[in-house]
Amino acid sequence: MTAVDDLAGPREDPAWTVQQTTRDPVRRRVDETLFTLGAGGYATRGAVEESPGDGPAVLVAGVYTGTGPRQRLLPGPDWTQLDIAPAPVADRRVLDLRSGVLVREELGAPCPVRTLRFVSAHRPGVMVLRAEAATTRLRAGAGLRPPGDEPMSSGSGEEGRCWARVGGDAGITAVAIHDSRENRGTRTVERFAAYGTGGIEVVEAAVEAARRVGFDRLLAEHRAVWADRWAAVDVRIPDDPDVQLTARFALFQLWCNVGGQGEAAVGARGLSGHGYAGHVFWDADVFVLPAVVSMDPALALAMVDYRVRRLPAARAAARAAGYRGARFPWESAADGHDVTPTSGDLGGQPVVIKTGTLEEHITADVAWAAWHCAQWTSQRRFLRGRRRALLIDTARYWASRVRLDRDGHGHLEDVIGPDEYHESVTDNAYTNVMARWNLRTAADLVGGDEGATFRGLAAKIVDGHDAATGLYEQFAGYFGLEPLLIADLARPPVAADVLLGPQRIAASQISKQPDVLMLHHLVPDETAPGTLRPNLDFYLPRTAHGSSLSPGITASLLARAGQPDEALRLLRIALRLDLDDLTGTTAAGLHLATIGSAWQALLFGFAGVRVRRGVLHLDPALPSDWGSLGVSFCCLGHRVRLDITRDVIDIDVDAPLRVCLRGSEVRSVTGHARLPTGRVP
Amino acid sequence: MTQVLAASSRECRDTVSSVATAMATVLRADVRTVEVDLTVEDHAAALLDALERPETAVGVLLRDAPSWRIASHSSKPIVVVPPGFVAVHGPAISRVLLPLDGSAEAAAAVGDTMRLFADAGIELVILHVFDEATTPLFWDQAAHARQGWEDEFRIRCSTPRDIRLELRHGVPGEHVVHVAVSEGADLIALGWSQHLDAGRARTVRATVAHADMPVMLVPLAFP
Repeated sequence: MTAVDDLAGPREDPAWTVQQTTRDPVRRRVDETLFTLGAGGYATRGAVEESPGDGPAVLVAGVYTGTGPRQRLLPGPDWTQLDIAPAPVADRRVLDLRSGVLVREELGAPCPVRTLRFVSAHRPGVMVLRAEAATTRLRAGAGLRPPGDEPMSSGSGEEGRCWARVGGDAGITAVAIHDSRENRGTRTVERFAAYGTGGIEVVEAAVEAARRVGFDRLLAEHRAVWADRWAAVDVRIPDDPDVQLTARFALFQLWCNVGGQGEAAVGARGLSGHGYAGHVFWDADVFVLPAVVSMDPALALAMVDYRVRRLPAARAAARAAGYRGARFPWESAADGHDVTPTSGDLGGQPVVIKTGTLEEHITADVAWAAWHCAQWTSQRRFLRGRRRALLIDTARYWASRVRLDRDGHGHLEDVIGPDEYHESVTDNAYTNVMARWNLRTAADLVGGDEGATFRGLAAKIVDGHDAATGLYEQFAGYFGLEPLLIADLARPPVAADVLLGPQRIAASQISKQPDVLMLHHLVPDETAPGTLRPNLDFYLPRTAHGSSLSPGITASLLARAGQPDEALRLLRIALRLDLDDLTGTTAAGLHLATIGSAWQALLFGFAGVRVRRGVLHLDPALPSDWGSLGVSFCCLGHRVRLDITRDVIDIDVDAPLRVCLRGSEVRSVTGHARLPTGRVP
Repeated sequence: MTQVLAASSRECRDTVSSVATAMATVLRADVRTVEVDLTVEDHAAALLDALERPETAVGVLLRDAPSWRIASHSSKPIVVVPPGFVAVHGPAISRVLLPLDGSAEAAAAVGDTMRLFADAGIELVILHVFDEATTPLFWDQAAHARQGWEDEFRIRCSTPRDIRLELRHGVPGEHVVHVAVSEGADLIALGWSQHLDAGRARTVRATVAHADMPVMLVPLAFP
């Protein structure tokens, strides 16, 4: 059983492992989510081998079932189950982030059940499991089992082969093979499974190839991929092992949950659970993609292409609403039509869901993600063809959506901004400024008369900025609302609308999450210089952080504003949100946007990384408890490693890179350079 | 044979007895009636002794000042009956309101009670009130969040899907009686810590004080 034994070293390494020994059944459901493994758009939850677990065993990116708002990710056949009797009473489970394997060992048994599984990072769709136990306790059993109540067609062949299909021809096909051998009272079972969305022949060929390669070589090639990933992308904080480990967990789960073939549909819970039905929100574009593009630009490109391929549906939605261009849906799934439910609940209060009709900023968010991807990767050809059309058609939507008043000022009425506590507002600063940014960006691409029209209209859109105070009014009339502070009500984070009811909160200045401040995060060049701090000072005491999207982005903003200690408090919340089940709902899946925002906070906030016109800008801010921060990431087509202390930044790049530290002159860095930081708070 | 212990003065004997009989039907138990004056120290001590007997499943008392002493010292559930109580929906118990704060302790306290009522074919309604202590930190999208929250609540509180869940926000003590009335509940069953120090048992105090129907107080340590 060399593969399991091999992990004796890493599983003792607290810097790289998430371990769990609990018997608490509630917590074990959470662990099923935390121990999700995935690659290439295929993921499997971490249910134990003798139990089908609480959620879908396997999910595949972009494969949905159902229609309209009931559309949801289709669960695939379960490949992880073994017949183990009696089942282990106590065990230790170890998720090894460095090598991407999940190891389990029964505790207190003379011949313990031990398992090791991984989802091949080298072969998309291939999943592998090895188990050993006393011969009398362990049998392979059925190789593929139905996912809950989902109808499954299946068949079996010789030598432990079986196949299964869920969802018909457009669904998920799996083929599994297992080998079993005995030695001195111990049985070892190896199972090879392959998943696909095409014909069974392709899937069968994949599993046959995997079996031929064999468990040990599959594991070796899998580990090599992970080693390469961690060599390119990592975080090092010697003074803060908890943040270091939880940030590595964040990176690990982004790799596991983001993927796909040609395009990547990234639902709110990724592929780690059934929560939010796998619907794709702005979480993907604004919170996950900026993290992913710094890890694996090709994956981010696939995320953009998920939107690009749904441009026809977005155009149809704009036409149906009486506008031009393309309007993206608040919730998207298989074909890009809006799948937002129309009813829901705030705590116990039934509410009409208006996000599908009013939360229009998603259209600019999608455009921003494509543009950000182009900026970050510096691919000149990136914004051509249909990706270029995406930026232009979204601008056309805003051009037809903006209403000009008699004074020539442009307005956007009846919208919802990121702060969903306030609905049907006019001139939401975030929506307006993002629309303005969208128009200006598209103007540069389209040129000519249409470009001039876009620019002219952009200049007319009001943004609620008061030059005297530096404040942006969140929406027209916001400053006239009851000036409540969140400290008057409860200690944040808190779902203030659940606590006090939506009407009470809507009449106040309490915000769910950064709204105006999202502008300073996404499009700082569209905000007036020097306005980050006054807007932080004003809006943060009014922010409930009642959205899991809030703490990470706020941490990033606070770090950039020179308040890294305050930022660190919020970063810890974001990083531990799932690990500590702070929402009480992690059993239904990881909060992928929170995970993405946490990496953004480390990279953009604390390390102060920003990319503008092919130049890497740095402006780090270290918390007082950190003597150093190391981050490695991909940027502008290169691998970059930063080791930041209070005195210097060591930069290592694999090719010449233009770098600007704290607004000083741009210099070219080749190989290694050490730059004096001047000042790190 | 399991017994329901009905303890009352002569004047309110009928009021307590009717509730005890209804509880006995649920528990398939006998009613044992004792005449007591709880202002007399010996009577209160004797009643607590009687409650401790293995055959005693539950005590039924009239709501008055001494009843708090019995409820806070009894290891068995105590049903507190408002003075002059007349069962609006008839002598039987057909619907019970179970307020739960979402904690495993409270759920465990009333878990056996919940099963008893359910086995007797009685409709149960769970009430959860979001207050400062129980409001989730995050409620991301109103279109989806309820399902995830409710799934977890039901699992943590061992509450199956076929039991209706009513949700409110605010101060629990201000909602329990109101919801019980609007739901037509014949009984409210509350888990409690049996501590009456300042600031403790606010929901229990408010419910007992304002309920027009019997309130069953189940010690957290029960059974």
